[in-house]
Amino acid sequence: MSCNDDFLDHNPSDEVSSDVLLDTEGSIEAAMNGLYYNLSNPKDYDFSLYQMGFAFVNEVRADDVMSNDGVWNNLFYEAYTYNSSKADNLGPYIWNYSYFAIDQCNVIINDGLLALDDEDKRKDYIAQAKAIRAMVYWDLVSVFARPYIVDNGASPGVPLITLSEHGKSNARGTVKAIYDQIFKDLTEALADIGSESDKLRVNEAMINGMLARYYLDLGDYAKAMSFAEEAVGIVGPMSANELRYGLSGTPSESMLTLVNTENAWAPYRTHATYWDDYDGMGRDIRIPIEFAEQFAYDDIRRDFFWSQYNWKKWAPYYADAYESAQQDNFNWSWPDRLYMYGKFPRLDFKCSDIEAYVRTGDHSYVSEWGSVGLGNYTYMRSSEMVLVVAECAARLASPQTAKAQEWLHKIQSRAIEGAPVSSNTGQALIDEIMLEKRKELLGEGHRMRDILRLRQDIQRPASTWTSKDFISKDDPKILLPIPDTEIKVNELINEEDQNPGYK
Amino acid sequence: MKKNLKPIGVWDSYTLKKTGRIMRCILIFLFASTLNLIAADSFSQKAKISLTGKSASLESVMGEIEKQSEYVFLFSKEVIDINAPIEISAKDQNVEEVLDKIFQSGNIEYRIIENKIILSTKSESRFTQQDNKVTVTGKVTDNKGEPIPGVNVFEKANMVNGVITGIDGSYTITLANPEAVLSFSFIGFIGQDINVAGRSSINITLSEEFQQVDEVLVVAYGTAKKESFTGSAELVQSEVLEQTSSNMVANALVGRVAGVQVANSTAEAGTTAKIRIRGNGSFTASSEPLYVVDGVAGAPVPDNNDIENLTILKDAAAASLYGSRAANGVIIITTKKGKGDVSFNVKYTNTTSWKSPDNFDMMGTDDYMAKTWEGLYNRSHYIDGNTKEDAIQYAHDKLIEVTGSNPYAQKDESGNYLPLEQPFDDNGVLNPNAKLMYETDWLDEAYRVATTHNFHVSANKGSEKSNLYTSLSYYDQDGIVIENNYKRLSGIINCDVKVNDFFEYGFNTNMKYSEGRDYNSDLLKHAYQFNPTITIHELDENYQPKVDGKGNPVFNWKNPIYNDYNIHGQLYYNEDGYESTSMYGAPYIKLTPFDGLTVSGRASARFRAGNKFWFNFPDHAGGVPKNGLSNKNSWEDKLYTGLALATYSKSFQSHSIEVKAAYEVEEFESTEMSATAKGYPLWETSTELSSGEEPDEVTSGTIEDSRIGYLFSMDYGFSDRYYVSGSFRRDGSSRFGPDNRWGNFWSVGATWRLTEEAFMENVAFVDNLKLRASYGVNGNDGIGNYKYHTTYGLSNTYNDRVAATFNRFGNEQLGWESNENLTIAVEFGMFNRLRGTVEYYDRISSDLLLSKSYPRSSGVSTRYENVGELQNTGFELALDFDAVYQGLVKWRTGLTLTHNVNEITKLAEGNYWDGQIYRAEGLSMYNLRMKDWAGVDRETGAPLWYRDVVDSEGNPTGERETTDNWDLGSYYDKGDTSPLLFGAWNNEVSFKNFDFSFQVYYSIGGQAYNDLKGVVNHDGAQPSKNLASDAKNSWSETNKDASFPMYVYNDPSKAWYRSSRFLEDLDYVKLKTLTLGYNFSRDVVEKIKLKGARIYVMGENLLTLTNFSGYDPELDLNGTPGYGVPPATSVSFGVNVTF
Repeated sequence: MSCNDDFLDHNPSDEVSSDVLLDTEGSIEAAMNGLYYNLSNPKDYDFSLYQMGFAFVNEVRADDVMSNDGVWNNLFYEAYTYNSSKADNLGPYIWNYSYFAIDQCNVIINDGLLALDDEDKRKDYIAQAKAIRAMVYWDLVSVFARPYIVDNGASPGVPLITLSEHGKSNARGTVKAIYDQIFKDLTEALADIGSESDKLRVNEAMINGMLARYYLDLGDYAKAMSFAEEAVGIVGPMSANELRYGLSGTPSESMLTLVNTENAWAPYRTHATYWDDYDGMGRDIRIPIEFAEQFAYDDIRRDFFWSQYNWKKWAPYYADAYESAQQDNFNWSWPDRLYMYGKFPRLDFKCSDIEAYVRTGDHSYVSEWGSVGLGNYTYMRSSEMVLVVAECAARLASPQTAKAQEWLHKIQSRAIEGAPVSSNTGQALIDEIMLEKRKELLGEGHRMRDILRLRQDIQRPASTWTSKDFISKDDPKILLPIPDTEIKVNELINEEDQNPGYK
Repeated sequence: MKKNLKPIGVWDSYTLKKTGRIMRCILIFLFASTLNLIAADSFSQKAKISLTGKSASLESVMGEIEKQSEYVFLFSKEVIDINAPIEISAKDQNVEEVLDKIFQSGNIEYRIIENKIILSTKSESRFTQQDNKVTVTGKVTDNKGEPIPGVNVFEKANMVNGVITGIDGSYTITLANPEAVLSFSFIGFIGQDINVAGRSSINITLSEEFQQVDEVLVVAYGTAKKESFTGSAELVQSEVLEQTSSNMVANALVGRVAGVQVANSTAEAGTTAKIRIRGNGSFTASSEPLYVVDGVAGAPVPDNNDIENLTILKDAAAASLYGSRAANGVIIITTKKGKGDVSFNVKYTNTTSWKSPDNFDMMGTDDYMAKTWEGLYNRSHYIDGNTKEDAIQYAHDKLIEVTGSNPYAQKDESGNYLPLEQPFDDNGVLNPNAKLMYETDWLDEAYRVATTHNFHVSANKGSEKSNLYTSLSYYDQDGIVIENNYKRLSGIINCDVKVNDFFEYGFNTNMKYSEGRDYNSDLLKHAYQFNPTITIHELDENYQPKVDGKGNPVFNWKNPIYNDYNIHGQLYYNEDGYESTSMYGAPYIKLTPFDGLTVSGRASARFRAGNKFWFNFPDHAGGVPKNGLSNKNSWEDKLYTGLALATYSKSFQSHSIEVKAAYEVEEFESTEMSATAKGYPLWETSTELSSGEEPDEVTSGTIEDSRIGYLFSMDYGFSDRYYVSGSFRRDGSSRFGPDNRWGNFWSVGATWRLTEEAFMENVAFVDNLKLRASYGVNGNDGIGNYKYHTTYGLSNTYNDRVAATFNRFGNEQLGWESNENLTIAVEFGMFNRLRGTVEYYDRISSDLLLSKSYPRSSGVSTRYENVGELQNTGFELALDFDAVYQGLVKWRTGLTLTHNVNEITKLAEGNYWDGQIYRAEGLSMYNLRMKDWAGVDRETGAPLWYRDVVDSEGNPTGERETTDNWDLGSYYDKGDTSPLLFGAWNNEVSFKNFDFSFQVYYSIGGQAYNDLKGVVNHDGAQPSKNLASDAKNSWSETNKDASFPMYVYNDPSKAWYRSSRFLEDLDYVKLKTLTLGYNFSRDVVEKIKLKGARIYVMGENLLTLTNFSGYDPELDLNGTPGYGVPPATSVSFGVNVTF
């Protein structure tokens, strides 16, 4: 019946079968694009691993933002109030989409991409996949496992999976195992990565940046500083003028930006939409006034808190936005919790008659009106590395105070024209650097990582409006629970393996 | 403006004329081919008869002649001695030659009329008339006025004096005595004795016997006699199809066959009912039966008027030969064939439909406004804790903002109406001087009285050598909701030609064109929600609808519910529609190499193509963000099938055997392309894709599947008493993994006709008693394509470059869903009047496709596996009774009754929620699980739900308590949407030329979750939305026993969330159809050169008895009304003329 069986063979026309995916150069390119798609775009149109997941879970658990209850979606509210439970969606989303992304990296890495004739390209692609795998593991482990610094990685980690074996059960392993794999992947990636610098893909600067972060977590400030300096050497910080217009594009200092384009994006699932409530879809995340007031009056980053009307008004005309909006300075839209419209504006916002809109607040008078919430998310940028250099210099066993002050000044003087070089030393200098990092990277998903690796308790300001205003560094609810769906079907992870606080 | 926007289809006034011409051309073509075929008929050879020289009875000789030719003998047993010995031998002789030999001696003479050989005694009297004898002439007709040729007419006292009627039904008999009694008899009709009483002309009407002798069923790959069939199959005659105004087959089957549930839940134009044969047998795959038309699965279902009959195969023995697709039963449709002389039939039915009366009553403006005022007051006073004075002020201030509009005015001194700022007083009572200036009944605006036209023209002609049937139908239905319509133009040509005893060929063709506009479910959704103060059009200062400069209505786009949405404006400006064309042809050849063996081959090809389109205008609603959006979608598909079938049947002594073997192959391919463009500033001129400013989205796709099947069956009968059958089919389908691609399906069945046994001979009142049982396995491949492949999708992009993204974790082992089906049945007949069938069945559906979870850490989530199991167990009863069968009035009545229990017996991984449906082993697929409503707290007016009391370890103690927090309420299983019993009482009555039939459908023991009740009883949670009148009975200080909680503006209580508050019993009895017809007698119609004429009036859904408070208790299988169009009440007038 072999001829019959041919007759019964049909392949889908708009899909490619997994066994031939990596057989041609064209489909390998598509598979590589797929890796980035998995990080940025919502697979089922309900969640994006980086634009939503890691960016916000590392802000709401910390002290610089607040999350509203019941406005649009409550995804982060339970994590914000340290009231997470196994019934929440956030943990499963992060877990599932992370492993989905890791599996796709494993497919590329294990295949070896032998169908590619160009050896450099082949190595470069595999290096990209390894760096992405390292990046996802680095973020994933921070949500479900205790920081490396606590016990040198002896705590339970997350399953370490480097082969693509669908359906297989894997045990949790240790944090150290994950960090070892991260180091191995990054080191191999650094050796093989191509020299072409593409901000929308893994590049040499980004791998150096990841290694700097890796060594920060381990508390090895010398090595962290050296990799951070290496990264800044490849991509330097942007200008003040560029910073003014927010980060939703692809900043010149970007080391990795995840883009979204209209055709690939489901509306209202971008990082930008979470900051912007123009259509009632955002409103989830705001900044308590205590933190906003840390910005000096002449700090250009303070202008990110202008009222949404001003940002809406000038969004289509970026060139004019700054000067014109300044006239309305400090028209803050809420007395104690501030929307931050300017830092992550919607790129596609359009409004044919913004004056009428500002005047009436009713967009139904405006004929052309809309946005699907487009805006890129920059995962890593040079300013972070500059501040890492400053921090490491200050924290070294024999501190390089002048260097720390000098590197800190690069950021401070960009934000405030004519800012003086800091004269602080010792802990005061370190504190000043850490505060500058909070201000510079506010909303980008960094704050909690620093709190975790530095083993700090969290004290939130009064206007965050939550009864949970103090969180001990040992609070078990800092971690999210291992998802029930995993425990139910994974034969090697049982209820006993659940994080403390959720058993 | 409006005129420009209408899609230009073939139905506007210009093209309709053109269509008329096209229709005429097709008709002329069809009739020309008919005449051609009729001419060809005269060349066909007559059958040659061969008989062996042995001595035999007349009966057996006649049987042999019938077998070798297409002739049938008609005679009266009173006159002809069928046991008379005959000695004859013949070889390849004409029928006439053989008959001449047989009847050359003796007193029997014969006449051949068409394919009937009519025997009578030689009437000497015709040749030897005597003076005192009287001659009586007359005509014998049937109930419909058709003449009956071949009727035996003889003198009762002198049986040898007899004649038979001629082809026009007329007779002439000479009698010795003018007071003689004449006896009229004819097979299949009830005989009559008439006293001549001196008359010289006696016309009589013979009534058909109700009992159908040797009912022949069209079954899988052949035919079978009902009496010997081992499977469960029900024949439905075409008369049943005439008792619905729908032209969808499924809609006509309501209540006709026990074990068949027809969910005819919507009057939406162009939709068909859902059919479940013996319950639902799958979670994720199709549960619809397989349709087979003239032997081809997948052939287009013809117009109802072209259907001769249907057979519904219910059990394994009947259906297993269809193998992989038989799990949900099979509906075999046989289309009409030409018969008799050339005749033409024209039929026209005009149906008027409207929304059925219901128990669903919405508030008018006064009640709604008063309730809203009360809600504002309650909110401020009871919830926010303000004083009564503040609460009253709050209600006054906020009322109009909530309702969205103030429809009240008051006359000023000069008699002008001026808006009344505060229409309600401090007690919430309407100011007596307030005049209501406008009010919208949104439901009324959504519904309309709609007309359906149904034309059908057919021509046919047939003989034993060839036959041809051709028809053309035009069906034009307007839905009972605005803008919903469906039109269909279709035709078929069926032809069979028997060249000689060895070779036969023919073909079936079907052509169809349809177009329409689907119902937009926002229409009724908004109709239930929009409050009566909101107007459809903007009003001028005199409260009259505004009209723009071009005379078009100005729609009102401001409302407090869905701002910028107005479904009436959207339907007016937006476009939405579809059209499709289908061509089908199926030629066959049939060879008969020797007696008993036939070999046939049939091929078929079906081509379909269609377009869908929609346009959202840019000014308001969904088209705004993209400044107008236009979509065009075009699709086409092709289906090819081939069948080679050999059948051998042989009878010897007491044995009869039939063996079938076949090979079948099928291939299907479909492609679809869809494109959307955006930016339509010039939308009033053009909405073509090329008129948009830029493309929005373009997609295309192709789907292919194929099947191969080998089948074998054997039927054996012994002594007309014992029958056994077996079937086996091996099927391969492209839908399954390479390792599980081939499946085996089989059945065994047995029948025992007790009435043929000697011990039953003395039980005279029992005409028929038959036991049968069957068991077998069949499959279901309706799971969609490509499910076993692990694939990456290519439809996503990253940074505008194509990205391969993991799509599906395939399962190479994926295989059939299979059904094991056991049936035990008793068929009986008593007193020649009562016939019935009782069946028990047990249907176990296993290997059902369900998602099984895998560790997410391995990079995947779920995949389909063959794991689930469902069981349907039930009883079926069908009774048929000739209540009145003699005389002028005939009344035949029947009852169908079905009891089915559905149970989930195995799931992939325990319990889960599938949307609102809770699935667990031991529960029905139609289980209703929800929070349990405990009424209203008498003191606070708060809603209450039950919850389980739990002990310190969280285990339920079995006690229940109440809570006013919906979230804390426990879930309980509150019933099942599938009824315990359902069926119908069917009746046919005839009196002279009148016929009258009606059906009463009943359904007992089901529950419904009336979600619409929840929408319109929101208790203030959605204060701008309208309310049902029931909401008047809400809690207040003076109405503490109210059944509804306190009405509160922006009510936070969740009282309107899903709970048993809106759960209702779904028992109902419905007068489903009622038809009254009149057949003009032959005498009348012949005068105007017609062969027959009938007029009739028919009503559907005329009366419903139920306590269900929804719009209609005939719901979809999920027992939830939703925003669909309910069944309509309709009245049809029809005329049917044959010439």
